[in-house]
Amino acid sequence: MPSADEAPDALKNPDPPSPSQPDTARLPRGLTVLVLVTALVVVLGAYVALRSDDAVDVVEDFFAALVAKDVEGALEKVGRIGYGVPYGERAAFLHPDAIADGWRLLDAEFVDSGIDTYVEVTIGDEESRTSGRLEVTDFGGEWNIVDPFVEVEFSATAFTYLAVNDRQVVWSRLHEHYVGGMFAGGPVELLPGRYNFFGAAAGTTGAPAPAVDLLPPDDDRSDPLKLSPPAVALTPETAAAVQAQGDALLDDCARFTTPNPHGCPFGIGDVFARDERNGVYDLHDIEWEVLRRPALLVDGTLAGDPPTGMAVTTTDPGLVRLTATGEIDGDDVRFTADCVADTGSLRVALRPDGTPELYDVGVFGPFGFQLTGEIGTCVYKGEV
Amino acid sequence: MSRTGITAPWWTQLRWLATIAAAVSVLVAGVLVTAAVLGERPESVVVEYLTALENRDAERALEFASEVSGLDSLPHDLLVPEAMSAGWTATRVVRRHNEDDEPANVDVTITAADGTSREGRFAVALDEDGDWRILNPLVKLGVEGIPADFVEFNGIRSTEKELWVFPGVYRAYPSLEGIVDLPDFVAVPVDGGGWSEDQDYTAATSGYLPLFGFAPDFAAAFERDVKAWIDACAATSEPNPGKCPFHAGDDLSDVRLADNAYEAETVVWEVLSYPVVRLTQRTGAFDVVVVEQGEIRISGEGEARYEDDGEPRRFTGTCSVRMDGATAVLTADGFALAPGSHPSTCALPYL
Repeated sequence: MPSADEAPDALKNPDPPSPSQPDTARLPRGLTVLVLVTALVVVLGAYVALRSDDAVDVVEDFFAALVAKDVEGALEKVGRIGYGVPYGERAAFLHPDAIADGWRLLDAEFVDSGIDTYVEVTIGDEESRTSGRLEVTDFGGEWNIVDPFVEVEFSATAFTYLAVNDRQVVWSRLHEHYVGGMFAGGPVELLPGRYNFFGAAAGTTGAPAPAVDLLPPDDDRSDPLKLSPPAVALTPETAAAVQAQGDALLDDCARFTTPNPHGCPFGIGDVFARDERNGVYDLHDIEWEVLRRPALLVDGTLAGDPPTGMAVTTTDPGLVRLTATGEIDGDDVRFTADCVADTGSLRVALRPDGTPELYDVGVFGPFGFQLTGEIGTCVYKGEV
Repeated sequence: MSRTGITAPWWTQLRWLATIAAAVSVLVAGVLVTAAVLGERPESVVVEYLTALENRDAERALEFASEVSGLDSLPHDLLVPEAMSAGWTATRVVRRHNEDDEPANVDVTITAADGTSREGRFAVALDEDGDWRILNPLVKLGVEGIPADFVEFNGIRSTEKELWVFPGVYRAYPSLEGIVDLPDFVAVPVDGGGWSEDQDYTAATSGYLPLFGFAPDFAAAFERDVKAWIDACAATSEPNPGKCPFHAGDDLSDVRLADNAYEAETVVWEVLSYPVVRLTQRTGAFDVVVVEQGEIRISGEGEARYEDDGEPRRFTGTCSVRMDGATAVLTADGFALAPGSHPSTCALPYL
């Protein structure tokens, strides 16, 4: 639409327009603005469309590589902005064997919230859909995915190993160069996708945990995802093997001639009380005899915080006879006491082949050294 | 302006500029492509370095490390060909995709002959000359937690608590084969180092603290050293030998037995039974676990503290060889033992 100012200017020009001058010079200025604005909108629209297509393409390529178990190809789409691609022990499961079959990217849509840019994705299959988002950044015209990893902390202590889909890593092997690293229990980083944890859990009769589709959390400050092993029910063979290891431990403990055998489930404690008010002091010439071995029970419950293995309880605490000499009322007296097994510091974890590993958390080992203190499990019976 | 007086479109005046710009663009693109194809890349520097390591070429490998900050502030005991082992390979070298490559990250997987592998990360940056340089070619190893007073890789020993090693695979403590059972150590580069004020990259420390497994000869070797320790203490003829698992009192001539106390410069120690002990690892040492305490007889002649006649008297008593609280550290000569802190092990019928 011509404006009121333009018409007089056009009339004032007596020269005919030059043939080389564009016709637009004659067009009303309003129309010119409209054309320019339209062109700008078209260009911007095309730019945004192409830009979002680029970001979606990158995310689609990322998932295509994952589904094809091409981990390195997928990681090519991840930039360093954020935390970048992890390596070493944290990256133990960025491995083709840790990628499951049977899932795919179902939907991907670019979103520019004005604060950040991301691609909303849905993964799954015909029966299940899981949605989340992958943050993307444009660095000099190149789209990269920011931290598409799922940080996971395992309470994997029912097992000596971590199993993620078809990849199995024995925890102590992963950290064999530095025992201190075993305290942590993780975390490890996983790629988006479908996950079966702990697999068939050899040595147990528990049903495998159902598969879960994981995407990174929306908030990158989120705590790691904490994964607990499925409820573990030992097979009769595994339970028998635990009992056999417990029996061997008790027999070895009976060899000690100290009041609190190291790593053993019985002892007199810090001070041996004869009754509520009187003690027996300066014990020496100590003998332990296992009269009835405790019957051990492992029901799959985890013990310790954070967990350090499956708890060991007893259906029968057994009977261990202590015979020793100690000072009672100023005299050296030979006496006996009856003791039970306190299995509070014993743990069991299952190895990849399903065989159990019985250990005492008071002894430096897979979980370092946990202070447990001396526990008194004996009752004074009288002079010999 | 044309001679006809007709004004040419404005862009036609810029054609020459566009031509020059196009030519420059082609030239720049050509240079970039050439540089990308022919030029050195971060991962090729890493491959060259790994090749030197695999070939046990310490001299060549050290050329890559010449600019490492603090290179000479830590010992080079293990930066020698003898400490480097063959038989391992870098099974993967991957340059991670980075937005800016300042520095570039090149991840490597080092795999031992038995298939054990670990993954590390080299940080590779352009230096002032435009060459790619590995910022962390060496592993700064901290070994203060090991229960030994020396570290030994591939037969080369060092008593330092922090030292440089090349990435690679190391056989740990081969001289103690049969005594301790240790996995091969796969040393990998770690990033996460800091930058000093003058923009030097300072390496992060990697801790080395494996679980020292007990090989079949461990118990016998330890028992032999415990007996030798006790025998050496007994041979001193001192009532209070220093750093021993038994002693009769507090000061030099103090002898406190269950029935009386004596003054004696010399005594006779006679081992009645050696203790039965085991070890359990902790940070920096092994703790002694007592299965059975030992017994040792003390005898001598001295003035009885609780008699008034001042006459020297013959005395004899039985003392414990107290191993509770004792610690052991592996040394090149065996186990170095240190006693726990106890009062006279002769005054009471101890455990």
